[in-house]
Amino acid sequence: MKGNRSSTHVIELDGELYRMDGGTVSAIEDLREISGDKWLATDFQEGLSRVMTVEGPVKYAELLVRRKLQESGEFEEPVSIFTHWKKKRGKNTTDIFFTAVPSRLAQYYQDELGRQEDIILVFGVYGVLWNMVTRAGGKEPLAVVFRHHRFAEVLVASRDQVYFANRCVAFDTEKEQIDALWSTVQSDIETVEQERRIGVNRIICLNWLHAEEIPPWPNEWQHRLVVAEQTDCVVDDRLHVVSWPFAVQRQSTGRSVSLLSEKLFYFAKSWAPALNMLLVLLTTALVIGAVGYRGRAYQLQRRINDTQQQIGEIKMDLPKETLDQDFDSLLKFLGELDRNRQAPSYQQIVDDLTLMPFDALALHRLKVEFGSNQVRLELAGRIGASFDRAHGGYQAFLNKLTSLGYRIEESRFETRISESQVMLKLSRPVT
Amino acid sequence: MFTVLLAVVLCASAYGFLSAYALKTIRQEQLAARQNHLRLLNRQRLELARQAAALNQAARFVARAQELGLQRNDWAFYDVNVQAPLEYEAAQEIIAQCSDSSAAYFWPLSLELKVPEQQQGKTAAPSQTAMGGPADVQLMVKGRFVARQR
Repeated sequence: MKGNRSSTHVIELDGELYRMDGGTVSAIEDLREISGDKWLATDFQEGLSRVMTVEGPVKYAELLVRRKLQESGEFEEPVSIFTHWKKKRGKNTTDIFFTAVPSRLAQYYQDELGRQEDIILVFGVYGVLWNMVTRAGGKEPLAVVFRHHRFAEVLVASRDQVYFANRCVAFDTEKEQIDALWSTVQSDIETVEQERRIGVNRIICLNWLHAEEIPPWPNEWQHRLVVAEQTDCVVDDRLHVVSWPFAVQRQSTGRSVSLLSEKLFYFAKSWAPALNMLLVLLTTALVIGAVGYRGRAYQLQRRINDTQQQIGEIKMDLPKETLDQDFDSLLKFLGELDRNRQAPSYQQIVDDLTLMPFDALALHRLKVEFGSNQVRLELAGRIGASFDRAHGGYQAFLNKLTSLGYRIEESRFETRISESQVMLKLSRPVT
Repeated sequence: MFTVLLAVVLCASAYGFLSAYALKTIRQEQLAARQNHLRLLNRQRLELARQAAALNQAARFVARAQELGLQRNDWAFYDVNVQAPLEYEAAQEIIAQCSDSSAAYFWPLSLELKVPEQQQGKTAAPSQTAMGGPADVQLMVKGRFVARQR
């Protein structure tokens, strides 16, 4: 998260505190002079920043660094490690870029400042430089040099690897000493290039009050220089053009070395208005939704009442008519009456069978049975004629019966040349 | 503190929202159930109306049949069962009489005409009519005269 505009930026360098207020930088005695939340960019007074390779897993890198520093005698008191970056290199090797601070100072920056009413987020100088590298763009290694008082903070890194971090110190701020300081910086960068086999093509120079000179490097180095964005600052009514305030203002909250709780409080405080607004909007939406659904439920209730009323108004008109038991017998009788009226009479059947002028046919048996929907006939006879005549006459007889509506179920014709025997089974529907 | 207050209000409004939503859903289901009930009742009503119309029509039919005297009780039944060797003319007369007339309907059941074997030229004992004459045909008639009772 970018720096909150409501927070005041404070710079602590070389034992001095400065308050940034727009384009004005003013010296202050104590942080308590400023009310409200603050972002403090500090050199931790006695801090020491390094890139180190330790033999151990990533999660124990800080412990190993602390032991290594105490064993080397660089700190004669308990030390705390603020890690800016660390990366597993081999199977059991870790690269770590850190700022070591005596524990009494670390306690001050983390605990005592944290106990103040306002939130103070603390950033290390090298954290600011590392932030510059990650924001610079490009994957090529570059150097960031921050000049202040008689010091030059040097960081050589690419976006995913930190190669070198060191503070170069001059004896005083005389020009000769400062020139010597710049020469030291140059030789440090050259050494890193040779040892790590990298090329540093960009050197970003940051400066602070009274350290606004251009590095007196040879021409072939001048073209590597990238002047960081600068800010006009008025200090004691004198205009200074420096770039450190700009770098400080571009910090992100995540790079702060403050305790996690402090960061969370800061986030919560920063996001509180937005959260409140979100809650208000959500509440409003829910209230509107609740009112809308209540209204819809009320409309539905009215429709339910209307429907219930319609249900109550429906009258089941049961049939008043009833049929007595004789209806079936009546219907059956009428059906019988009708069916028998449609049936052909005996006389009609006999007429149909004798209508054919085929005098050679002599029937000697006729049987007629009436079923429910058809009449069945069986007849047998003798034809006393030659086969040709008998057969032709018999066929004509059959055709005639068919035309009268009879259906031939079975027909037998047996001949003895001079006379023939016939047997017929017929049916006729009764409609 | 204000945020906490807002969170509490949010919870309350969420509860109100969910309650209203649940109420609306319940009302929707109740309305759907009532409408289904109403549809069912309307369908039943229409079915009953159709049944009533059919029954009414049947009742009218029965009444009309009663008016016309078409009930079985209004009719007399006379069974016919003739089995006899007859002369040809007599048989023809019986067959002619077994038919509908202005006095009665004839419901035929079965008819069988058989020429005796001696008539067919075969050797057999000659059939005789009731009058003692030679029979031309063996007649069997079954049926029923159906006459309206006066």
